[in-house]
Amino acid sequence: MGGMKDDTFKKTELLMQLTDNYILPEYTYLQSELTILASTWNSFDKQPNEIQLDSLKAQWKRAYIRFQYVKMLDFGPGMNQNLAMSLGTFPTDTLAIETNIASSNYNLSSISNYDATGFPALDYLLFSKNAYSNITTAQNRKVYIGEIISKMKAEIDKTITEWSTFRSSFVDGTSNASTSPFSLVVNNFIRDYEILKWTKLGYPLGANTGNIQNPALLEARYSGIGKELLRANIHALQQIYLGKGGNGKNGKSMHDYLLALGKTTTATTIENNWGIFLNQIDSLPTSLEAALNSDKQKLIDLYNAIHFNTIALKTDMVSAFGILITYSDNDGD
Amino acid sequence: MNRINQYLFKETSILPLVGFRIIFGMLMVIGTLRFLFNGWVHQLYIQPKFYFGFIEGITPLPGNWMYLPFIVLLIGAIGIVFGAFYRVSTILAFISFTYIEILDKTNYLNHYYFVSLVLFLLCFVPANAYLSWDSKRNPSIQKISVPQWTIRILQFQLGVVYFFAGVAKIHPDWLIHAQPLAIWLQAYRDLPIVGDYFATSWLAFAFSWFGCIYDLTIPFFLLGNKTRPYAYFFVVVFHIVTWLLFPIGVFPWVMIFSTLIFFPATLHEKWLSKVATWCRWEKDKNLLNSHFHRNKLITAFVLVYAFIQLLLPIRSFFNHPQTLFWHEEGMRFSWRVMLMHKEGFATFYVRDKNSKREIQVRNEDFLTVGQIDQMATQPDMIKQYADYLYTQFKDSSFQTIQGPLQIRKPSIHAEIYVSLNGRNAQLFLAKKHNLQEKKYTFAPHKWLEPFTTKL
Repeated sequence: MGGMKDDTFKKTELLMQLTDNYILPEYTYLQSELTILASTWNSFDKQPNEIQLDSLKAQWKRAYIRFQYVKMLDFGPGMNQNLAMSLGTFPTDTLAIETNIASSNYNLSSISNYDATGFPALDYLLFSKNAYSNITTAQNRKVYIGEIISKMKAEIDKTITEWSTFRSSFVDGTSNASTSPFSLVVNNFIRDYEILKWTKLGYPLGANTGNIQNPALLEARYSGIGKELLRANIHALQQIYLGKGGNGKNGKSMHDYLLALGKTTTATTIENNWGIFLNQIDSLPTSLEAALNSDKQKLIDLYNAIHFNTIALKTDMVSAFGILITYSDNDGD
Repeated sequence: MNRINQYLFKETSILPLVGFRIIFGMLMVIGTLRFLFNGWVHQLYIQPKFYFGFIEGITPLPGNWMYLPFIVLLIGAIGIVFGAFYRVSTILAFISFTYIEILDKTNYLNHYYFVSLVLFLLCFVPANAYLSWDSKRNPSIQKISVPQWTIRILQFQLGVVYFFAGVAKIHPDWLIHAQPLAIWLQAYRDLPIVGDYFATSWLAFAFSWFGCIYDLTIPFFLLGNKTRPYAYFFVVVFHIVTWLLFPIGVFPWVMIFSTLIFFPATLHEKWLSKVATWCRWEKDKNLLNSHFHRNKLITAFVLVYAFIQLLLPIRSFFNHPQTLFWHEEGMRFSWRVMLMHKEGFATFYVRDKNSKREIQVRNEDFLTVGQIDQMATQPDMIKQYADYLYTQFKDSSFQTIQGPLQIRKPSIHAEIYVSLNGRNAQLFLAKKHNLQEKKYTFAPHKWLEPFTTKL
């Protein structure tokens, strides 16, 4: 099981690869998708028609998929803007959205409105029944959508601006203190993996409700793109794990670090599992809701496979790296 | 017995004890302030929904009242520094500190246990009889000498910590595989110049062997008059290195300063006389050395205390190595420091016999991240959590889209995987057991899987 160790492996190379070829390009992609989303919205706002709405929806989908690539970067500037929660909390609270719109009295930045903003809120507002007539007949609704989009845009803009100064301290932070950048990367990577498991699959499947499924908990249920989002999220984690850059440049990764530590079995198990998950997702029916209705066992198998792989990530990988699974700074002995 | 008494009640200078009181009190003040300012009171004792208490019924005070024991501890520690209302101060500090520590096993650290023991001992020794507020107010309590046991017992306690920490290191993982140090040290591979050495295993071996020999021998070198200065040099270097490399808070400083009690009065005289001038504390000129009467009660106390302190660490030697490391029986209160790197992944299930339904528990709904991490590898905490889940789910009902799901008599199951000292994870607890029915006793835990993974 032990491979050849490589004592010259440096974590700072991993952090630089991740920062320059993944984090910064991915944030920029999301920024440009959101910029286009904002301008598409402006065109629709000026001259609403069904065709404009369709291109708005298509652009929303592109941006939402891109968001799956950055939601696990919940540290530093991304955490300061709370991007993962403010852009991606689901299921969205349709009642809160309707109340906000009706009253015109709301603060979208407050924590209580996390589930009334972001991509999931737009899923409801753009894709629910009679969306077109609802939007075009109520000025309040248009204002609300516009505000959600500009808030998302503002948050990604701020994140990117902050990263320009945050970068240098980040790539040098290789210590194993629980608040060091390397630990933050790994801890948030695993946390996102577990959140994905529960929110995208576990809750809708009813894993914690006696296996009584609840499709209302599916992500992006109105548009039905939950399957694409799930795939993108797994793909993003795979890219990070393998050190593949969003800009096509590859480099040192967690996978390489495991190999350098002689943990060949763990490294290849994790590497192979990403591919297995992606295949499992591809073999599902067109949407997660369809899978829930007609092919539930496939979803359960996928859920169990993702669950079981946590052992390799959370115990084998983490203990090989020697980092502490905690999100705060505490004493040990 | 006569020789024991002669030894315990031999007259000796009070100065090392007074120096210890001031330094240890100051460390307590700093440690308590650090705890408060890091927001740990809220994070560890107010935020959690559930606590892994050591003693049933002893639970945190509600909400912000949890700041109270910390304030009491701070006041007690300040009292110790100044030797003010000394008896009350030491008792308050001991009780508040120990109360805090037994609230949650998650936060158990060997050095917290050490602090508890020292505070306990300080309640009994007359460390306020010199250079103190009490003796300024009431000069009649002044003494320049104390019976030797008051100092020896603290030296003994320090010696026990080191020696048994050293004995625990005589273990294949530590000496033959250099684990877990190899895991922890390689993490420093990015350091400039020395990084490459940290990545190699020979440095981990050097650290492991040195650490073991250091722990085993340092108490004896500290006792010898000739070896003491060299020994103390190693104490300082050793603890500063551990302070730099590992997240162990104030512990290295506690040891660096506590071991000063091994030094003779002449050394303490130098700095204590400056403190005395500075505080305008004056020694009673007529003070004479006193002769100490033997006291059977004290002899008994010292012997029983020493016996227990030897027995607690020794108890773990009789355990099968598997029981010790894998099941963690005898791990606590026996100075087994830094011996393990354990990571676990625990999934709990609630089964309901009536509805034949199974619920997978999301641990984050009930525990903090730190609690989940500690619980996943420690059998008594696993059992406590299972019992807690039982109370949470028994006779409960929650909404599903098929109507309410009623749970009458749940059974609690867990599937847990654990990796120890760099080995790949293996099954620790199988799902088949109904944890509600299992008893946590001192007998070997048959419900846990045997340890089979080789390093």
